[in-house]
Amino acid sequence: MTMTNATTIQPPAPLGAAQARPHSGGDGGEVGGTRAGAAEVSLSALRVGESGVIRRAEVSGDDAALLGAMGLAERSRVRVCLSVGGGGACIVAVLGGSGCAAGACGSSRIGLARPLAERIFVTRQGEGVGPGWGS
Amino acid sequence: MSPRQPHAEELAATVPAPAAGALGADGAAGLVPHDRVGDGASDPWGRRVRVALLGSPNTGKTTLFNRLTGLRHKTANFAGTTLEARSGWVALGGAPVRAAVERACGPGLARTIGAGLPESAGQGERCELIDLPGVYSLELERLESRLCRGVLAGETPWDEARSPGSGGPPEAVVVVLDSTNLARNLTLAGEALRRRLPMVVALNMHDLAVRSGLKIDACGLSERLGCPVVVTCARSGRGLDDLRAAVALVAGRGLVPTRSAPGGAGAGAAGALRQWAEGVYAEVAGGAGGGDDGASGSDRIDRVLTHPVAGGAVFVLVMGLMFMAVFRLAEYPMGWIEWVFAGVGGAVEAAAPEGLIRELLSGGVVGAIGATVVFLPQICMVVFLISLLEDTGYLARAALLMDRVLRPFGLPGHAFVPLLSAHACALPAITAARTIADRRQRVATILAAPFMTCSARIPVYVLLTGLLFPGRPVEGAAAFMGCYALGIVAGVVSALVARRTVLRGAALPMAVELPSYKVPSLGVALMTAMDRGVGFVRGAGTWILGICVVLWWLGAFPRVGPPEVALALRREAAQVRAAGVADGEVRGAGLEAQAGRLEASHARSGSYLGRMGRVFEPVFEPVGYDWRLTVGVLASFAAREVFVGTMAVIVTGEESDEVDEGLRARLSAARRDDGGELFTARASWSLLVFYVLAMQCLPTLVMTAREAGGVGWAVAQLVWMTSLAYAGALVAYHVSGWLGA
Repeated sequence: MTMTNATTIQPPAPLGAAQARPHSGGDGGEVGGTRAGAAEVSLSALRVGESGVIRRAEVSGDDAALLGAMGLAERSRVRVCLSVGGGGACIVAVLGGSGCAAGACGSSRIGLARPLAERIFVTRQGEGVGPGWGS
Repeated sequence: MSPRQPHAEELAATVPAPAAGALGADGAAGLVPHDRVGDGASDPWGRRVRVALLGSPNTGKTTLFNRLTGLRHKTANFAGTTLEARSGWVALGGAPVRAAVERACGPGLARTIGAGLPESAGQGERCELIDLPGVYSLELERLESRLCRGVLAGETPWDEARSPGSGGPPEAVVVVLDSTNLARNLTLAGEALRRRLPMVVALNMHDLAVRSGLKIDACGLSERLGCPVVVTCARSGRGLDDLRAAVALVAGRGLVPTRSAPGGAGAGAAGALRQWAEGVYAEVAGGAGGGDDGASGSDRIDRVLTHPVAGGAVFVLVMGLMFMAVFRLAEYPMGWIEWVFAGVGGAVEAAAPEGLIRELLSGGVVGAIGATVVFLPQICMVVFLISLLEDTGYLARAALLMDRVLRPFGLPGHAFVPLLSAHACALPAITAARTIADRRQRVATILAAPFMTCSARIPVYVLLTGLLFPGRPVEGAAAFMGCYALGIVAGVVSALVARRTVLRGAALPMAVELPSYKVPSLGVALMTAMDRGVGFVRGAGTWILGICVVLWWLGAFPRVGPPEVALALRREAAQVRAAGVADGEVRGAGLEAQAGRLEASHARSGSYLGRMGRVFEPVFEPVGYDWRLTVGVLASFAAREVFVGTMAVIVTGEESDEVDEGLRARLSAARRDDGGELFTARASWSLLVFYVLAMQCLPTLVMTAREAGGVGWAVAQLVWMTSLAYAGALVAYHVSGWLGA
C-alpha cells in the first residue's frame, strides 16, 4: 500500500465518488493488463464481475498492513463477487499479486463494509459481467 | 507504538544460512541443527519440550489443536492480556519416523535427515503444545501479532502463572497453512522461517484443496522451505501421526530450516515477501483449483445470504432457532441441575447436625455451587451453536449483513452474536465478544450486552405485568415486548455513548475473510463447548460462588427471635392438638405453617439485608419503593431472579420462585406500613423500568471485569446501568402518575 502512515495520507477524495485520478505508474506500465495512466476508482464503484488492481487505500499504516496481510495489498488483483446496494457490503475475491501468472494463485474471499470499500482505490481491469444487488 | 521485536535476520546472523538452492556438504540442501540444543545428539526429553502452533484464522489451527491434545488441555490467559492461551499435552512418536520423513520431505531433505535416523523418535514422550492466536502476519502491530512474536522470541511466557519452564522460545513451531489459500498463507510461513526455529509445516484442509481440483506438491514445498511439510486434514485426523513424528524429530534434534524468506521492515519488505510467496506457490501448486473460478457455488450462496431481504430472513430464522435452542433446550439440563442440587441440599440437611454448619452447607455452599453450575447449560449451548455456525462459514456472512445495522452505534457486525446471546444470558454473551478483534468495539459490546432482556428478568416481568394488567393478557404482552425493546435501545445507545466518550477512536470498518462453506464438525463444537464450560467454572465460577455465599450470609444473619404473634400461633397449635378434636392435627399443622411463614418473614426483615432495606429506603422513596421493595431491589443486585423469591418471603413468609396466581394475589393484597398498597401501579411501572435497565447480576460483573480487562470496566458498567435505571424508574414513576395510574 502506498499510504502506510497517517502523515503521508493525501487529501481524501469524496467518499463513494469515482476518482478520475491517473495512476502514475511505478509498476513498469503493464500490470495484469492495466495501462499506465489508467484512472483510479474506489473499489465500491466496480460492478460485480469486474476486476481491478489495488493502488492505494486511505487508511492508517497499521490498518493498511492488516489489509495487506489479508491479501488486499498494493498491486493485488481483486474481482468483485458481490456488491450489496444501498450502502451494503461488498465481497471481493483476492486473486494474488503481479507475481501470479494469469492470477493463478488461488483466491480467498474478503467481505468489506462499504465505508472501507470506498477507501480502497483500484485501476479497472476488464468489464463487469454479472448482476449484483443494486450495484 | 511499542518497539519492534528484533527481526529474524538479527537472530539468523548467528546461524549462517546458505543462499536458496545451495547445497550442504553432503550434496543436498539440509536442515541445520539449532545450536540451542547443543550438538543435536543429546536427548532433550529430560526437560519440558514446548511446541508453538502458529497459523492464520480459518486455517483449521484450533481443530488441529483439539485433535492433537484431545481433552488434555487447559486455558489460561497470556500474561498481562485477555488473550487466551490454550496449552495441552501431545503424545509424540506417531508414525514410524523413516516413513514419515519420506512422506513429509523432498528427496534432498529426506536424504539429509535420513542419515542416522532412528526407527522411532519420541515414542512414549510428549510435548506441550501452545495454541497461539490466529494472525495474518507476525509483523503487524496488533496485540495478537506482538504476542506471537514475543512467544516465538522467548520473551513472552504463555503461562499467566509463569510456571517453571515457560520462559525461552519454544523448541519447535508448527505452522498451519490453508491448502485452499496457500499463496497468501505462505507469507506467514516465510515470516516463521525468518525466526530460525525448528519448524514443521502442516498443510491443512488438504481434502478441500483436492476436491477443488488443486494439486500441491508437498515434497516440492518442503524442499523450497527447507523443512518437513506434512499433509493434514484436522477434521478427519489424516496426517496427524506423521505430524507427531515430524515434530518429535525436529524438536528432538533441533533441526532449523536453512531456507529463509525475504525480510525487513516496511511496505517494501512486505511486498518482497508476497512476491516470494507467490513464486513458491507457482512452483508447487497447480490444477483446476489454482485460479479463481468466476461465479462459484460460494458466490451463489453468498448472493442469498447477504441479500438485504432474503439474507435478513435467513438471519432471523437462524438466530431465532439458535435463541430458541438456548432458551428452551437449556431449560432441561438447568432443571436437572436444580433438582440435583435441591436433593443434595436436602441430603446435607438430613445428615448434618442442626446448627450453623448445616445452614452454611445446605443454604450457603450447596446453594451457591448450584447457582453457579446452573449457568453451564446455557453457556455451553451458546458456545456449541456459535462454534457450529462459525464452522459452516455462515457466521462471517451474517456479521457482514449485520454490520450495516450496528455500525451507526459504533459496533461491528460481529457484535450481533453476543447481543443475541445476551437475551438468554449475559455470561456466554460476554464470552462470545472475544470474536471482536478491535478492543474498543469489544468492550462496547460487553457494556451493551447486559441491557438485553435475559431469562433471569422474565419472572420479574411476568410478576409486574401481571400486577399491572390483571386479566388483560394483550396489554400485558405489549408491556412485555416493550421491555425487550427498551433493553435493546438502551444497550445500543449505551454502546454509542461509550464509543463517543471513553472508547472513542476510529476502528477499521469491517473486513472479514469469508471461509469456505463446509459441513460443521460436531466433535470440534462439543470440545469447544466443554472447554469453555470448564473455563467458566474455574474462572468466574469461583468468584460467583464466593459472592453467593456472602449474600446467603447477609440474608441469614443476624439471628432474630420469632415474633410474639408466631409464638402465640405455635401455642395455639399445641393446644389444638392436645384437645384431641377430630381435625386437630390438620388445624394444628395449618397454625404451625402460618407461624413458620411469619417467622421467615420476620427473620428476613431482621437480617442484615432487611436492615439495609430500611437504611436505603429514603434513596428509593422518590421512585416509589418502601423498605420491602427496597430489600427486593437490593437483593436483586446479586441476581435479579431472586426478586420474586425475596418478595415472596418478605410479604408471605413462603419461599417461592414461581409466579403463580396465588403468589400474585397475595402480593397484590400486600400493604405498606402506612396501610397503602405495596405494589401500586406507579411503583410497578417504576420497578419494571428499573429491572429492564439495572445491572443486577454480580456474575456478569465478574465476567465483565475478566473480559474487558479490569475491575474498572465492571465498576463503570455498574454505575452507568444503575444510574440509568434509577433515572428511568423516576421518569416512569412520575409519568405514570401524570397519566393517572
